Amino acid sequence: MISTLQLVLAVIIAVASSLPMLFVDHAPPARGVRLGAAVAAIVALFAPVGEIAFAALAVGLLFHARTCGSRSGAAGLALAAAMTLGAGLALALDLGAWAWVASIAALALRTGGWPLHVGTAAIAERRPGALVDLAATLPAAVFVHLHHVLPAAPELAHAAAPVAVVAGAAAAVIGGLASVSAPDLRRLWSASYSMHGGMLLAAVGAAGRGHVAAAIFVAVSFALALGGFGAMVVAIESRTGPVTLRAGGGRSTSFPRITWTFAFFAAAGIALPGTIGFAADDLLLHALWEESPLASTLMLVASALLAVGLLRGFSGAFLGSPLKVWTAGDLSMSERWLSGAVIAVLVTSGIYPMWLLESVLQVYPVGAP
Amino acid sequence: MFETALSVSVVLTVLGPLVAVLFVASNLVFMPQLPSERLVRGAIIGGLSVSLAGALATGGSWLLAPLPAEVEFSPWLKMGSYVVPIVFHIDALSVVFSALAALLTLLSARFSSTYLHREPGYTRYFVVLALFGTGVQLVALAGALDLFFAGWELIGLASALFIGFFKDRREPLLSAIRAFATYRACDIGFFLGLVATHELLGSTRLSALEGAGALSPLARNVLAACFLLAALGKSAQLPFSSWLPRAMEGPTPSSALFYGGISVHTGLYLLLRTHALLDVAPVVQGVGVGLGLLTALFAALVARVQTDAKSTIAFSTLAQTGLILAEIAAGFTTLALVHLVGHALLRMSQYLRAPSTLTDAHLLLGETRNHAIWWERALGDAARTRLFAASLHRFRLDEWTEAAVAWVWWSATRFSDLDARWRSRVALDREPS
Repeated sequence: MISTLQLVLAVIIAVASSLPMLFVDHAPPARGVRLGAAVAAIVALFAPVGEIAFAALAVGLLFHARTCGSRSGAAGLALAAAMTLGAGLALALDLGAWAWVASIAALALRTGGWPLHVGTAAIAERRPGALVDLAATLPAAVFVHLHHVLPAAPELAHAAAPVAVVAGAAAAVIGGLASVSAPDLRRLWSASYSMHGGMLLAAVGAAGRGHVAAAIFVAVSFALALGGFGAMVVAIESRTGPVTLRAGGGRSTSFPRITWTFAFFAAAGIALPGTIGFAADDLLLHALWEESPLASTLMLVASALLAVGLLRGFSGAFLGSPLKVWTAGDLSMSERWLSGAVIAVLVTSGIYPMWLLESVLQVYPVGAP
Repeated sequence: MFETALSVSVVLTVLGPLVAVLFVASNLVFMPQLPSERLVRGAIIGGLSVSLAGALATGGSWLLAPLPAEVEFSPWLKMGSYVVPIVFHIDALSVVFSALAALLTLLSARFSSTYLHREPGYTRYFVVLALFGTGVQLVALAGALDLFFAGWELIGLASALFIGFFKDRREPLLSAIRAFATYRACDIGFFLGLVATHELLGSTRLSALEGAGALSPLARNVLAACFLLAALGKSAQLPFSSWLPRAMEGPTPSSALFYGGISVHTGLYLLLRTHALLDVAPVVQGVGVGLGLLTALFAALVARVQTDAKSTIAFSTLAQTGLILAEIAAGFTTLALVHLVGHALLRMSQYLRAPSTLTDAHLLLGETRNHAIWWERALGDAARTRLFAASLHRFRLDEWTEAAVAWVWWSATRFSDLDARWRSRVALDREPS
């Protein structure tokens, strides 16, 4: 029986996956392979049993590894794929606790939660668009974990929740710290990804005690807001080359639409009211507070640090007096429509989050923090 | 019928500016040409006018039945016992602040339409102004802390964007980051307070704070301290005052609205809204009175030695907001509200007149004069010189603030170095990125 939540997540994955495919990229890897990753994620989402779901996720990760443009990144993703297969195998052998450990490790590797961020950081620095692909398929990985692993290891998930949330929140703080001192846009993108990775790990940890909705909301926000942010990094770099944040960039004069779309996605990632990021933060912080007030406080510190890092990055890349006049065009019409569609989803889900929450509650009725 | 009218007026008050923002933003994204000044001005002033009309209608409805009322819509989030309501609280405090904010925002927009004519960033200015219009109405009318926080965040973001409005210069950008960092650091207090209120009192409705007396003294004081921290940051009270003078880098009409009229008072408004909690937290009350008076003294001394009009007004604003904070913390909430409204109106007009200060001074006084007050004359030359020097250096508040936050920057850069070393050691990529 296919649930509304699965359909909604499939649409979100499709929209988020089209972001890097439609945006101009310096070195666009084969679209077929990227499409394969998105299709694998959707197969995982609808797979009737955990083993198939994890196998599909592993195939998707290998597709991502093929296009990521970095050996370290590919190695990290291959390791994540191995962990994912391990989780599937453990499920097949009725070893729920091992499945939980392997699935969490795979999630940590693909979301770049510190200290497992070496692969994702290398991808961000070499081919930022590939990380947008990876973010886009994340909701499927989170859904598979919640849907197949949590019922198989409820005791471990429950017992490990306080540790997982503090570890996730601490990783988020480190990501936030890295964003404050990022010297260029790619490292800012990498640090933001890592901070959100910590946030997602905390949310998935809290899901072990019933806070499932927070994990789904954080994953959707990750795919759309953070993915949009990454797409804007790709968009500006493909027009102006690598962007350093030390000198005022002044790119807003030549690229006003990229500037403000970038600002919107960055703000949505740090819980701009009226976007799904705000709902995700609200749910997550309440969930974390119940497990550990320390984790809740750390997460707020991480969010504050990332906010300052992003404003600094935005100023350094786009504001200031123009260093030169760029002749490349602003967002193309197809890029504008796609950005507009993602913004519309972010805003609709932020103003009326119940449409997504209701679909979560249909599947997980006992999810109240 | 009456309830429906009240609901409609509240919706118009809050959503009027937001609809204008969405209209201009969709023009910006989808139209081949960037929107004209006329279109932007018309849409935003239209949205703010609707907001003012809604605020006045809400105020009028409340006058017809002057009892606290709640306008409730279907919940924003609902999951078992966890409910985040969309509820607006209509009472004397909220209708006064809402009408004041709507009026001053509209006036500022009208003033700006001429003041910023042909200025690059005209569209950006008006979009941010309308975003502020929505944020401040959410704050004014919110009946739950979540809704209040949504507006609060929008105000903070708008404030930072206005400070960095003149984006070609480095100083405004640095000042914007400084103000935003202060806001976000202090907002940690707000969100912790919000979550703790829900956990301890079962709801984030403002009315739930009435039950704070049943909490343990420690819980009450910690909860109140969280909100006090948020208010200190937003209202630039000590020790978070150093961002306010730097915020003067923005356009004069936005400085008038934010740092004279409304934004600087929203921290105080938060304390007025949560005074039921403050009333049962005597330790925090004492801290509030102390910090308020200290801010007032500090700002009054520094204001007297400033050499430009906007800085003088900024420190004068601080002095008055310090006094209002002390009044609220001491329990004089009605006096504080009257003081707040009077101060917002006076200060906004002063900011808007700031570019004409010299003309005004010559017209009013014939010449600019130095006024030494009695206790300054009584101090003696040496003490007076020391006080002058200390005031001129703003009691080294900037240096202290920078020293306090330097460790964040130090640890961030140190961590980045260590991280880069660790990654280069394990990386498989041979050539640099």
